[in-house]
Amino acid sequence: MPQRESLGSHKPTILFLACLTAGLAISAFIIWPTPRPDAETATSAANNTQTSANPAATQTEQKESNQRFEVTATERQLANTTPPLVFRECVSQLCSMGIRTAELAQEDENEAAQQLNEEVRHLLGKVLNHFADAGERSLGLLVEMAGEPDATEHSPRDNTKLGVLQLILQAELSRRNQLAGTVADRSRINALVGAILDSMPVDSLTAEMGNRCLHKAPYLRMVHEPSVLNLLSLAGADQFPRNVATNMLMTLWDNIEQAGERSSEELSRLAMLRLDSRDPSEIVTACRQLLADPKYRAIVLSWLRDRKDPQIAQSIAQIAAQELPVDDGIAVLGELAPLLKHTRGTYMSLGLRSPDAVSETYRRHLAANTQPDIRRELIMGVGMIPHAAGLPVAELALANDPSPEVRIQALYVLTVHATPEASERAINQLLDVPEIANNPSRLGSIVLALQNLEKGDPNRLARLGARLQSLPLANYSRASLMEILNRVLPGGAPTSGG
Amino acid sequence: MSARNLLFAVFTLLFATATTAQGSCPNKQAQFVPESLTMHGELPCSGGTISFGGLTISSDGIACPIFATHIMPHEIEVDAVTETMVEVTGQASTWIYYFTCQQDWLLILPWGRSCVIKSRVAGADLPRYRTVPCQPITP
Repeated sequence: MPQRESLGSHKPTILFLACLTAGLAISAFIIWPTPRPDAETATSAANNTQTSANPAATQTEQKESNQRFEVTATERQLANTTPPLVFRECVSQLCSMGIRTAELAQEDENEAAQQLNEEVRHLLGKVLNHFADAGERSLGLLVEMAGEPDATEHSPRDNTKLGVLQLILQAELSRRNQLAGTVADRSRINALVGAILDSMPVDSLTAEMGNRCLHKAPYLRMVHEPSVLNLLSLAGADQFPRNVATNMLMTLWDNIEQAGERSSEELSRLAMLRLDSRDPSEIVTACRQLLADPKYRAIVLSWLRDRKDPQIAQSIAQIAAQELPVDDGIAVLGELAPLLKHTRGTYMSLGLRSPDAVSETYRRHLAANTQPDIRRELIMGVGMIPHAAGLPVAELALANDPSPEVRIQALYVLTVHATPEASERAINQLLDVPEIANNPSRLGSIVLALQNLEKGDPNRLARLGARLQSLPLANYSRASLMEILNRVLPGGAPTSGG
Repeated sequence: MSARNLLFAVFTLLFATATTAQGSCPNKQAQFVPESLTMHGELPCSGGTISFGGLTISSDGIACPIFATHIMPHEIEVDAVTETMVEVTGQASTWIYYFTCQQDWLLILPWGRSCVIKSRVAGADLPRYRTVPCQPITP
């Protein structure tokens, strides 16, 4: 039997294995990977209160770990950012949303339309917030549209885009104007307004946009006077719409007076000089300025009467009716009456503002039996406004006015605001008056008033038509009557001797 | 008085009589007035407020007229240096359009569609003239 070997003979092997194991352990410790920063941070935060054997080394490690943390945070922010807004695409999106909103509204999907309208408002706010130069960008897109072929023909989408651009421009003007008031610096608002003015001669689109954004708005100032005068010059050469040029000049004068850049007295003196201008816009603006000042009103009225220009008189009459105090407007129109015989409706703005004042003026003239031309215009002025406030005074005129022309004007009012039965009675009442029934011109006016009864009972028109056909109508009136009856009566108008 | 002078006097008398019998020629002529469209009043259509960045601003939107007067082309009687007068050839209606806003709460209003004509009525009329020579009366 072999003898067991003693442990001593295995000592070298055991020693070798122990050394090998120790060496492997030390190697593993040396080459093991460094722990991650967040883990290290969390570890170091947890061990924050422990005293470090090497504080400087720990601080360096902290800095490095903080820097690494910041870089990582920025990278994460970049990874989460939405794509930047592109102005042109935003405008396109607003157009689409605007079209869809209108479609929903037309389909009576009002709740959905209102919700989408709110989303439009939200997107618009984002655009204005993101683009400090939204106004200039809108103007650029507008000029692009004006330069396109067939710029005068607009698709529904084009019209919506114009609505969007107008909205952005007006919002931007309003924003800059508010900020200018806060910081007492108008450079940005002035620059945008100047850009709009300079773009207006490009095309009818830009002229219209400028008119919509600047007319009766507080943005034009003295610094813009040269640009506005340039528009007047272009209008004088028929290269720019005259009415837009006049609007710009009137707005400019209003604003520079409001802002204290020129006093009212200075403007009135300037207006006196401008009365002799060749430019109609300057003349109208000057007259408007002088009319507004009671000191100069008589002077400008006298000047207008002497000039005998019906078109300027008509422009001034409209301004007086829309802007002066009602009683002053009535007085001015009365003074200009000899120059206004060619036009109609000049008192309607006054009638809309104060039906009572116009009615009362008529009653005074009726009582004095004066100014039949003015009485006719007063009846039209209060009687033809959208509501029936003037119907009572028209009925008074129909029954009592000695002038046939005034009574016929009252008839027009009844055909619009009274019942069809009352209108028929009124027409028959007038046709019973020989000075009307035997006068072709007055009969012609009654024929034209019948147009307001076309949508009613055709039998009524047939009766009235038959009576009128038996009277001495002028040929042109007889032709008009036949046209009316052909439109209304089945089978057309019956032929009848006159 | 010689026969020649007598003949001259008779001729002058006849001519003066003819002129007097005609009545004086009014020396008027027709002057063309082109059609015109005048807006009156304002209906506020749309616009509204937009809020962003701490600011609330208003957009003026579109203002429609309350009504408009449309005067058709016509003529007026004005003084003339020639022996002319005016003759009525017709009558032109003055139309009145009453407006309403298409949608008064929409923020975006397309051009050309915002103001809707509610109705149209004939409001008055104006004569149409042409110029004709004054008619001499043949003795």
